[in-house]
Amino acid sequence: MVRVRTPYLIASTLAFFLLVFLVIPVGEVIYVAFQDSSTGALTLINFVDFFKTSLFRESFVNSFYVAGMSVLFASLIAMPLAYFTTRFNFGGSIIIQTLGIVPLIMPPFVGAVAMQLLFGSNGSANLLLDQWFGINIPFMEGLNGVILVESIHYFPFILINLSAALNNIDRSMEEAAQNLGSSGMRLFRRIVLPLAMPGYLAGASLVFLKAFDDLGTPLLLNVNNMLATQAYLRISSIGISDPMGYVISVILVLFSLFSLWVSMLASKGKDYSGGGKGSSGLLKRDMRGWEKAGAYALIVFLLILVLSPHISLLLLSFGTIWSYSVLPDAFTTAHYVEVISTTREYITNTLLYAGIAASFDVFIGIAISYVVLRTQVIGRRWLDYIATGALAVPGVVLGIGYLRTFNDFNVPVIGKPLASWWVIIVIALTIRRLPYALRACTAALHQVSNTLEEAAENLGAGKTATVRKIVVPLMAGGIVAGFVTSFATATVELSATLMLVTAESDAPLAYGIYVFMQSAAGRGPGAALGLIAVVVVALGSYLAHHFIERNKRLQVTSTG
Amino acid sequence: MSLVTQVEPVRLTIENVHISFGKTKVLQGINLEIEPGEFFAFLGPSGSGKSTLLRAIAGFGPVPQGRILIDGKDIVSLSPWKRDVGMVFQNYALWPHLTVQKNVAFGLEERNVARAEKEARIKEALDMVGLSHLADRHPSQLSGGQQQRVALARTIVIRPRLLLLDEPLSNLDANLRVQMRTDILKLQRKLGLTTIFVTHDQEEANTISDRMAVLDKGIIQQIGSPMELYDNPASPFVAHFLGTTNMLEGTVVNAGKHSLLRVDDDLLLPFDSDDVAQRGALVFRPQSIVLNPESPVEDAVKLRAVVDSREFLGATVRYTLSVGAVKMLADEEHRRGRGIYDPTETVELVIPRRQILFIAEK
Amino acid sequence: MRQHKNTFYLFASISLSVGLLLSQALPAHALEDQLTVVTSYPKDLTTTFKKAFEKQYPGIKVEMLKKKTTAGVKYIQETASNNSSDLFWASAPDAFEVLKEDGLLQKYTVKATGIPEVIGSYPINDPDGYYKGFAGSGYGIMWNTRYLKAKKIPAPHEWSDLTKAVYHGHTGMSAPSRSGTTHLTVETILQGEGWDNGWKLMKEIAGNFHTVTERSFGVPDGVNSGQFGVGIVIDFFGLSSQASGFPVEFVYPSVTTLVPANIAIVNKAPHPEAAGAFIEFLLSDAGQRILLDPKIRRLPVRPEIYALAPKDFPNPFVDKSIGAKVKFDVLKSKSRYNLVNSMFDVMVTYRLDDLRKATKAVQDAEKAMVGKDNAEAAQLITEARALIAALPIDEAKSLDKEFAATFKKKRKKATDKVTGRQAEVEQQWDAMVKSNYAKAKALAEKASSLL
Repeated sequence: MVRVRTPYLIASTLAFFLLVFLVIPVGEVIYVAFQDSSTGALTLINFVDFFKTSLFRESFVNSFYVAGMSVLFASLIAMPLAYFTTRFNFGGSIIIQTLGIVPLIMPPFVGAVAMQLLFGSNGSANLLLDQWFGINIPFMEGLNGVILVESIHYFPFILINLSAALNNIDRSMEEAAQNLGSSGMRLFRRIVLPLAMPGYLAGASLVFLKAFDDLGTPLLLNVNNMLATQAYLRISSIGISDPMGYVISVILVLFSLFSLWVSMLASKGKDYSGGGKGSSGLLKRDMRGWEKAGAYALIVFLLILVLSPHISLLLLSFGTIWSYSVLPDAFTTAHYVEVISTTREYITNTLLYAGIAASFDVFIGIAISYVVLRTQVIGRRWLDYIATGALAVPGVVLGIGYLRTFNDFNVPVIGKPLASWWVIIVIALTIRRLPYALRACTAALHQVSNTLEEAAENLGAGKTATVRKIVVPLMAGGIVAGFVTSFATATVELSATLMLVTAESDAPLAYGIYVFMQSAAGRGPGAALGLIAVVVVALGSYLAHHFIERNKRLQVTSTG
Repeated sequence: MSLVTQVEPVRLTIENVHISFGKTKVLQGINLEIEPGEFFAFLGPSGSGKSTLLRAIAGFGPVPQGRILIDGKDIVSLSPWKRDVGMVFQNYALWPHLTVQKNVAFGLEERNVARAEKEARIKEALDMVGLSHLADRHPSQLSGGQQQRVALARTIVIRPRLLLLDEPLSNLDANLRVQMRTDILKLQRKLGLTTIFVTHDQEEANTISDRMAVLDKGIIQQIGSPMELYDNPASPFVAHFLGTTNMLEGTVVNAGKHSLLRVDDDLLLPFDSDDVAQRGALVFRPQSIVLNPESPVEDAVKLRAVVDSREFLGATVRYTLSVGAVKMLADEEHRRGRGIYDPTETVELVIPRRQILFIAEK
Repeated sequence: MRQHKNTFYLFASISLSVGLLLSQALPAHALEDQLTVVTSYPKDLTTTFKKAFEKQYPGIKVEMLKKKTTAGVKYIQETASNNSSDLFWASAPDAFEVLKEDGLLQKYTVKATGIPEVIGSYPINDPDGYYKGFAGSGYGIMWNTRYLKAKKIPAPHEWSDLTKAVYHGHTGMSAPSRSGTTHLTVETILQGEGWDNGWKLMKEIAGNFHTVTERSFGVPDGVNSGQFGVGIVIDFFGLSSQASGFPVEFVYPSVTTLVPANIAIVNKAPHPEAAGAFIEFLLSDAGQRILLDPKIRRLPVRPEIYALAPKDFPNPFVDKSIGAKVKFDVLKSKSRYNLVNSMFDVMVTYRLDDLRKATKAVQDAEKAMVGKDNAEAAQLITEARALIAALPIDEAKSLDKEFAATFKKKRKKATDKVTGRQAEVEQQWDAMVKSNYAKAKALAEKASSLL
């Protein structure tokens, strides 16, 4: 009896959480899309309008194009980094892998400003190009800019997943191909890439989704003809209750789920990782002199490219005035002094919120993945789908949904509305970043053999003990990866939090940057705050990795 | 355009090869000559370096010191993909995303073989392993034995100069293993390929190879035909590794003619050897011992022994006997109706002298 | 059923215990008098006022909640049922109008005296008594001196300068739908120049845009960093950028619009007393004097404060060129507020590329025309200009209540009916605008080919 009931209890708790904090608030907002604006009756006429409107069709095509091109460029960046660091003896592989994650932490507002200063039509790159060759390359104009920023921002999703997949390929697969005469690009294209395809697809679908749904980047680059911006502009206009914004939100959510589903279909039955009975573990190869030089040159170029927003941010945070020039006029530490002396609470709030949110995320992620993969609960896959669907819900929609749903719900004890209590920010972050942690936990649980659990149960451990003592420790790597991604991206989350901040003292860093970036004098301090965020998050991620590695070593020494 | 006519058997020479993983020395001073068309086995326990040596021939793993020559040409500096040395991996390493047909076609495509010839060769190779009917399947839809055959076909289709097999039978069940090893041998004979086979199973090595090298701790212990090695092991390790044996260590009492070995205070055994050594071991197989002979045995050592225990193995009965404090194993052929000895029974233990081999301590 | 209940209790107890834990971990909010201000103003302004106010009223703790004007309105609307905000403090009167209409503001009678009825031609206070003006700002043009020097572009001084070909691709402005103050500028031009000519001028300026920014601050930001050279901005953006050291300059064109900055008490404000005190402080001598701070830089509504201002500080109470030319009709503006925003977006924001290309083609043709006499080409150019300027609706239609309601449908009661759907109308406009721009471009190119 207990055996049957417990999974249902857990599943229904999870379902309840998702229902209350995701489905209902989002539903509250987007039901307008299905309402006839003159009569209030249910209708699909708004969707007909959507497809009849050439601007929206154009926006849809643009969003699709940007997402596709972003995947392409992100792949071009991620593939060499992943391949070289996993296949060759390469000084600094760990540094490359670590630096490769940093672009995920791009503080809002300042990131785009920094990119404009470097790559804009009158940014450093173009000023130099103009000076040397008399040319101007429109890196940042229109959709180009969005594609550039999105690919630099999100390529780590491919890097992380592809590296993991490459590490999981049995080395004999590649050796067999070499043995039969294959090498270099042909080997990569015909054997390595197809075998790493599930990992690549997992990363690429995330990049596609994020680029498709991302609001901040096109907004800051003033690109309006994309779906996310159209939705936002229409939802956030004063006094307009145009249902189109919500129609677009619905379409964004549906399309995102659709592309997730397609990527799942595409990788179905193609999970080739693990299962190697023979020689597992990779032997890294050595490179010849000129090969090494070429590989280093490529990697250094890519790293400079992907870290350029952060390099620019660094310059901006230490620069005095930077206007129509290759570098700032002079350098100063004043911005840091100002930030540290006046706005410390933004940083501590952020660490607190993102930390709690990411912890909840892995907790919920473990629970959902366990229910989905290890129990027979009816409809369990829907937990996965719904939680993953959060990826596709625009932050503004979630923010407004929370205001609508929870403003009338007074939290006992503290006696104020849940919607204006800082915990709501944490919940919003939890929901928004849950998909990352969930994917990582699911992947990790996939690799834990069922027999290990059966062995524990056979020796008398109950379900709870088994999960706690066997499953969770074995999933540790995936859990930390999930925590780090959720945490890092939560620290710079803006759209939902901006809507939910009700007191400056409760505000997270993204809000602080926003406030600074609203005034001419605030650009330097805003950049300093952004850079502090990047450094703090990078350090946190590094420590988490370090902790895991040490734990792994301890486990090995204690058993062997 | 048959495969058979195409292959010109090669000679493989390994000269003073050393291989290290970082500071760990995995192979030391390997010297070996493998004749054209020979079926050669590397036999040794796990960790002996046999797979490392095979992989070095294929060009995998750390670059070895020394020379590896095919028909007199050193291949050490060649990339794996330029060696034309076909290898069958222990786990077969079939690419799961390609069909059987595509797996087999891979090497030919890398060599830009024209379409018509390619198809003919694929068909021939699949026919040879009897899998033409499964060409469109994916590896995951095949049994272990079928996968093994695909791996073989994939390798021979490129007409390699050498065929390397890395424990090819270890993932198969017992019946299939016997079948497969005859098939592999037939194929090798048909193709005339110089072939190296890595195994830790001495029975496999014995049945299949023309000659073999026994490896231990990165050093070749002995090279020779299976029977030579079985009958004349050069070291206690080889003697033990190739089948069950009695090995009695002791001090040489009277070196030269009529040598004696003192095994313990109460046991002195004679042996014939030209070796002049202070210490050594006498080696003789359990089946060399005769218990309570019906007719007298010439030129033999005769001892009194007590039966400790017995194991019935079907074709034979294996007795553990005590000669004083010294334990020995004896196998007696079993036939229906033949009596057996019980524990504590005293028997006469006879060892023909020419069955006793002396191995000097080194 | 029991299961569901269990789940609920479990969840409730988890959230409760987490709540208790966290509320202990964080400092509890003091129950003493406090004041929550939802504002769109930059940090420099809010912090200075907050400090000065808290100094005068030591018992009151002020919480400045920074939100973009549009987001601020949304926030107050969404939280109305359980309101925790006291004041809404922003520039755009339209935002206040929206809140007022929704019944989300509270009337307040100012105690302070000596504040005139109008600043420029704009009424300082809401006639209905809901929101109060405390300062004014003028619109003008800012430019990046390094940028103009490098590209050898002259500094602009008048709105009409910005229609010249030399500024093509070098100017920027925010969209009226994104920024209430920008809306005011557009509406002022429409009222001052008339509906048709106003839009014509607007589109000629817009044809040179490098960008339409999403935030009003995006304009000074773009000029400061040199992304584009010239921006149409509110004065304090230009002047505070200059004060921060950026190589930028700012001028008021001879005809400028004047934008009041307002404050209002939110309906059912939890701290109405403190809110009133804040408004009085803003309008007091001390409060008005803060506006002269170079980092804040707004025009006080108390005429006597100007005596303390630096020499070149514009004084709308004396200099009648500032905001006086146009008699601003607030009701007119209000009735077509969303419609004008939507028109601007359809004709400019979303079709900027097409508009820019058409404008460029016309400018090229006109350049080729110089010194030549070709009646056919001249005719083509005139036609192209007319096509660019063409509007989907005339002024009468823009003031038609029923039509305007399409853009502002807020059904208060189930019986309320609104006709037409915004998306439908916008699609018709868009189709027309797009084809006009394309035709204009073709005509101008044809004219060029004739020369």
